[in-house]
Amino acid sequence: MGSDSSGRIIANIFICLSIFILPWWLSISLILVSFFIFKPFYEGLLFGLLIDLLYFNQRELFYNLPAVFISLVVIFILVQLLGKQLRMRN
Amino acid sequence: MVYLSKNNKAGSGKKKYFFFLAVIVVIVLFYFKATFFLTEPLNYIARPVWWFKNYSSEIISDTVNLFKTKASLVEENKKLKKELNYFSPGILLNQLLVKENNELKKILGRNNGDQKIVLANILAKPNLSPYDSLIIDAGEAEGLNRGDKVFVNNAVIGEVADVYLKTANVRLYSFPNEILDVMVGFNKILGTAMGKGGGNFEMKFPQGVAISKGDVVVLPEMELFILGTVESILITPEDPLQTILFKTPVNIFELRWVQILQGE
Repeated sequence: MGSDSSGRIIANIFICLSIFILPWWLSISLILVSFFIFKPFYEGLLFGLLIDLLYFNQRELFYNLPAVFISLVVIFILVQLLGKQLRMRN
Repeated sequence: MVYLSKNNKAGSGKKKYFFFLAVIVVIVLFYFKATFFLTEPLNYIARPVWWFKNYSSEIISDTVNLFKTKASLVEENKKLKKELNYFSPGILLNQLLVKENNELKKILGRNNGDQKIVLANILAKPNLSPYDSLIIDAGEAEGLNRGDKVFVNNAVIGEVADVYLKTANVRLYSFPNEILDVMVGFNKILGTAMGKGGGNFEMKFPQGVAISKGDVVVLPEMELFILGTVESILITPEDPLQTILFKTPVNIFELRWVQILQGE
């Protein structure tokens, strides 16, 4: 097991715990940072799903949709596309 | 020479197809509130974690208090005693008025005698949730229902949105852009309040409407429970409307327990 995968496991544990104990904006920031460090960070989408499953409330502001999950999916796709573009240029 | 096999492309296309399908299924499930089969067990697992978090932060705050100087504690004690003396007559009068109001309602045949109050601990505070919600440790087992009003010391803060066996999700009224019908002041002027987050609200009224600082804002269906008190009134000559800002009398980030008014 490489240092990358052990770092990924630690990040997963930390983000998972943060969802239950830290402010929501901190958990989401950790997921966003992980999107750039570990590619592809599919777990980030599962964590977004976990946040919505635990705390979701239908709100007019978000058109009654799970805003955290949707935003993370969009960012995940953008990060993947950006990564591909950079690889193609290099 | 390495060739990209056709199978690989097809596999990646299939992967993408399943990914988007899964995302759409999840969104639809949330939209139709059909995620309870996952939320219920998750809440069950999360309950001890939230409890442990709350318990440990209480221990930390108690330990910090231990190291406070005697002088600051004496000062705080004096201040609290003064506040208690100031508010005690008001509380007694309030209790008397509530009693009198209930008696009058009974005479008029409008008594809500079937209402029951349930006390619940807050497991997850609004800072954990991006949706401004509370998770409380009372649920179906305690007889809670969707729409039950949640309050603290006569201040209504939200209502039960989802009920699980031993937990419930409470939606707070003050979430940004949330619209709420309210009544303001002694004359009970009907209006619409809009949430601004963190227990703050905004209302707009024509400039001629007499509303003053300190006026009480209540929900039309719960006149004995305060939603907030008017904090400031903004008037500009170019705007025919006055903007009224009010906030809940309790700090929702410091709450440890809430009361739930059951069934009407």
